[in-house]
Amino acid sequence: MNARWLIAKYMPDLTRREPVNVGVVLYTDDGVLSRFRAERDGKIDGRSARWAGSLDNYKAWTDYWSELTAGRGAASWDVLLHDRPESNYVVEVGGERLFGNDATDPHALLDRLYAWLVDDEPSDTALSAAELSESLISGLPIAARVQRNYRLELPTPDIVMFDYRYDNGRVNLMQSVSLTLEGARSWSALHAAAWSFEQAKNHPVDPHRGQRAIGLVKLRPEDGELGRQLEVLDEQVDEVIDVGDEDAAASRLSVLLTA
Amino acid sequence: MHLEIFTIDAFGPAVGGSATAPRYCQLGGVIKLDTDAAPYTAANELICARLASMIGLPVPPGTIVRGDNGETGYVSLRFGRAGEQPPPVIPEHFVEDHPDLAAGVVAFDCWVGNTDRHNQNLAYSRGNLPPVVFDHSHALFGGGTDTSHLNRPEDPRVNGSIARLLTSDAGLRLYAERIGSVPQILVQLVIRELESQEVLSPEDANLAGEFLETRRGKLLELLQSAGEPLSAVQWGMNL
Repeated sequence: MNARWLIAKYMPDLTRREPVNVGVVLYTDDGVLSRFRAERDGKIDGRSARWAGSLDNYKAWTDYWSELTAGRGAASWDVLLHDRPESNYVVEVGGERLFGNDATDPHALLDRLYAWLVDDEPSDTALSAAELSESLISGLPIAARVQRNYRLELPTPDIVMFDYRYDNGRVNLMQSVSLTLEGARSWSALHAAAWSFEQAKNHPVDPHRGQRAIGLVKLRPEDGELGRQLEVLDEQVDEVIDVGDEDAAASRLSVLLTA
Repeated sequence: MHLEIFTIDAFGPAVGGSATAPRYCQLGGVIKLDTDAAPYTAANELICARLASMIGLPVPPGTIVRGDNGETGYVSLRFGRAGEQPPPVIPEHFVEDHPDLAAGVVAFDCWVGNTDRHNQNLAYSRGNLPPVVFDHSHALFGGGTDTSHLNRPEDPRVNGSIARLLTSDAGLRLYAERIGSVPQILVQLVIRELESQEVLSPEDANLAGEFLETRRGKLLELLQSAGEPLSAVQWGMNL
C-alpha cells in the first residue's frame, strides 16, 4: 500500500510565522482520510479549539479540507498544495511511505500519524484494539493469572487462537476485535473472530466447566453497518466490551472475571 | 444583505469632548498599490467596491490611500474572523445556499467587466462564515495597461466557476434590474471623484463612465448573450 500525507498547519501570527500542526490528511490506495485537532465525530468541538484565533474560521478551514478531499479524492492533493492563498491555515507535504504487501490499516496509520505529528499526548484513538485490550487486561488485579495467546486445539487438524484465557470457575476466552474500519476489512475481522468463538462454543475447553466468550472490540462511529456487525458478534459471544471506553470496560471486565 | 463586523486592532485616546465619547482606533486592512505594470488597481477596486455596495453585494469597505512616496493604493478593511483569511469558496455550496447572491456576483462582474472571478476571491463557508465578495483589481480597466476592451462594451465578458453553476435566470434578472436602477449620477460621482484626486485621467474617467453606463442599460441582454459560461441557465421570456 502506498501512503502519503499532508500536514495541516495553523499560524496564529503571520508576521512571526510559527506554525502549529493541527491535522493530517492521509492518501492511500483505499482513499483519503483526515483528522484535525479538536475533531469529535466529524465535527470540531469548540471547547478543545480555544487555541484558534477564530473558532468559526478553524471550522471553515477544516470543512474546506474535508469537503475537497471527499469530493475530489486523490486529485485533491494537487489542489490543496497549489491552490492555497497566503493564510493562517496552510497544508504542506508531510511524507510518504510504501508498505509493500503488508496489510496496513489506513485508519490505524492515520491515528499514529496524528499522535506523532499533532497530538501533545497520545489518546486512546491512537491505539489498536489489541493494544487497548492489553492495557485493559494488564490493569486488572487478576492480570498475572491471565493466559495470553491461548491455543484451542480442535478435533479437526485445526487450531483456534484466543488473545486471553482466564479461569475463575469457568473458562473465559477473550479476543480483541477491531471494528474501526468501514467495509470489507471490518467484516473480515468480524468473521474471523465470530468463527473462532463458534468453534470454541462447539468444542468447549472443558465440558465439565462453564465457558464464557468475551469480545473486546474497538468501534468506529455508527455508519449503518456497525450495528449489524455487533449483532453478528453478539450471536457468538456472551459479552461484547468496548475497549475504547477504558473506564467502563475495566469496570465490566472486573465484574465478569471476578464473579 | 450580510453586514460584516470588523475587529478593532487597537483603541486609542479620546477625540475631544462629545456625548458619544469617540476614540481613535486602528483597524486592519489589506493594501494594493498601483504599479507601472498595473496602474489601475486602486481605481478598479474603489469603483467596484462602491458600485457593489450600491446593489447590495457584501464587499468590504475600502478607500484610496497614498504611500510615502506618493504612490496610489487601495486599502480594503481586513475581513475574516479575528482577521484571519477564510478558505477558498466551494462554489457549489455558495450557489446552493445563496442562489440569488451568486447570480448577483455574476451580474455584477458582467457589469464591471470582471473576468477574474475564482474560488479565492469569494469567501463563504456553509454554517461557519457569511459570503464576502472581494478583489476586483482585474475588473473594469483590467489588471494591466491595455484598456482597449473598454471600447467594446458589447462584449459580455462573463467567466468563472460561479457562472457555470447557475441554472435559474431569477437571480440574474433580479440583479440586472437592480443594476439598471442605479442612478447614472451615482456612478459618475464615484468616477469623477477619482478624477478630481488625480487617480484617473479625464480620458480614463470618460472611458470607464461610458463603459459602465452602456452595460448598465443592457445588462440582461449581455448576460443572455454570454454563451458557454451561462449555458446551464434556463432563460425565461423577456417581458
